[in-house]
Amino acid sequence: MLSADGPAIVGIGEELTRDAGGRSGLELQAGAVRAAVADAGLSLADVDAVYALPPYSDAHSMFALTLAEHLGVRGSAAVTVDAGGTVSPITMLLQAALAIRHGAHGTAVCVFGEAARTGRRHTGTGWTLGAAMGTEEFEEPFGAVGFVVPYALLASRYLHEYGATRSAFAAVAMSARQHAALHPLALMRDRPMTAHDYDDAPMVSDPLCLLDCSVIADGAGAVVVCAADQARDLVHPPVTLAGIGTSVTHKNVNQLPPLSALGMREAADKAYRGSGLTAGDIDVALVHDAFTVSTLLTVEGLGLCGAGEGADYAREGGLDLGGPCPVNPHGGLLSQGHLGGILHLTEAVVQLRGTAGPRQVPGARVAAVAGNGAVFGTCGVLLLSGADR
Amino acid sequence: MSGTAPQRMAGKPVPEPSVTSRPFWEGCAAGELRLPRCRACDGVHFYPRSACPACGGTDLDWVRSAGTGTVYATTVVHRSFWGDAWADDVPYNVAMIELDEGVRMVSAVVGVPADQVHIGMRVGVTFVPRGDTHLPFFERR
Ligand SMILES: [Zn+2]
Repeated sequence: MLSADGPAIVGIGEELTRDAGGRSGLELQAGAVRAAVADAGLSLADVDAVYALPPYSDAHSMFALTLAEHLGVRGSAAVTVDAGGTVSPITMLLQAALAIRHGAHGTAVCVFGEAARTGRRHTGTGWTLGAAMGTEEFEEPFGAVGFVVPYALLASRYLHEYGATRSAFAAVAMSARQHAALHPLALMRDRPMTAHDYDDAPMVSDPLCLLDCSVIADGAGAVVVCAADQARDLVHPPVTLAGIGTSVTHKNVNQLPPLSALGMREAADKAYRGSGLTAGDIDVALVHDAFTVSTLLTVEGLGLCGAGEGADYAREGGLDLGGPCPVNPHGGLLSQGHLGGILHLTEAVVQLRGTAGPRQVPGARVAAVAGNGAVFGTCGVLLLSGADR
Repeated sequence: MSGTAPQRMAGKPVPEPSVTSRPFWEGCAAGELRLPRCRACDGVHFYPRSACPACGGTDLDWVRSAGTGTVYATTVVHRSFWGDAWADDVPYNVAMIELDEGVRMVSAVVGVPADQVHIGMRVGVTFVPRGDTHLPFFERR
């Protein structure tokens, strides 16, 4: 299904800002698609399929079709995908690659973006949504409102089950912040963080403080996917899909399984089995880090360390550039900015091209993109492989 | 903008029972914590839905929970998210309660300072009126 001679990523587009100047999520996504197509050395006339996740803050029916029309794309498919969190970009890529492989359509773009920071339709604290969440009847009336509270409940389980302390969360936050200093678009690039800063940060939903939470951003990211025979002739060395695994266990936090039964390990095992790769083959990992506890659970799920060992792994520098497998060298959702994980995917491509500049992981050949949606209710692991350089 | 989000802004949310969940909320008003039970596999589940999530059975009835359980996860919330409905409550507790029947629900422990709620604490249900309904919160046992 997936192989070195399968469909490949040949172009990327990225935009990240504190203020998109009134542009809508639709317009931001359109901009990222144009940038990705140009990066590949193609034109919009070459795009035959559009895969898009609608802006969360601005509910929109038939979003991908609207985006295709906005772009002037006439082709074979416009598919709206909402698999959950970072699993959405991974799923878009999988569906596009399968469809290309089977001849259902030609070159595709996969895109997400929104004006989450400035474009919210109503005032409020936290990242608000335009659509129903399924938490209206049995969670929100009890004060479990928004995203931080469910993750705080998960974090309380992490500290309890593994006997960890918040110093593990601090290590994750500081690693992401150090990496963000090396990315020109990172929203927190000029905001270094010390352990003292972490300890002084206001509590949001105990045990999560402000610096355990990701940074809300405006922007978008897109990738171009095409068949292998076309990919070879384009501007950049192609990045191929080596393996994908996904899992589904629950949606709402009231159905949260024990940490040992979260689906990240299952998703990783599927990706490893399909690709013949192992955790030891991963040179750089881009993991969904909406909250610091997410990073710990995800590096454990990937098998970079054992279950419950993420705290020591993070404190001992396991996440850092220079370590055995740097995690989120772009700063991640925590310090680069939260665009749903699409910039994890584009950063993986940049790393495998070898063009990440001061944050480049030397000789990176295999990247893992791992994420979840809905408090680890659905998990996804994508393994990408770069060309020989 | 389709309607759900702005309505959240006006005071604390009040559950809107569905055909499926109405017996649960009627039970709360009557001082009973009711759980859906599957006649096919004899399992209880939460939250109420149209079929048993364990076996798919659709022949469901209701059993009265003892209303006792244990704190499974807990947080102290310091901000009022999505508006100011909780501004007068912060810092307030939100907890996942594992009922003795084995299911878990999101609720809160009331009657003690939020930061004194801990995982493993024994609790019992107490019904608190809001709007036309009663919500199942928990107290220390
Ligand atoms: Zn059943």
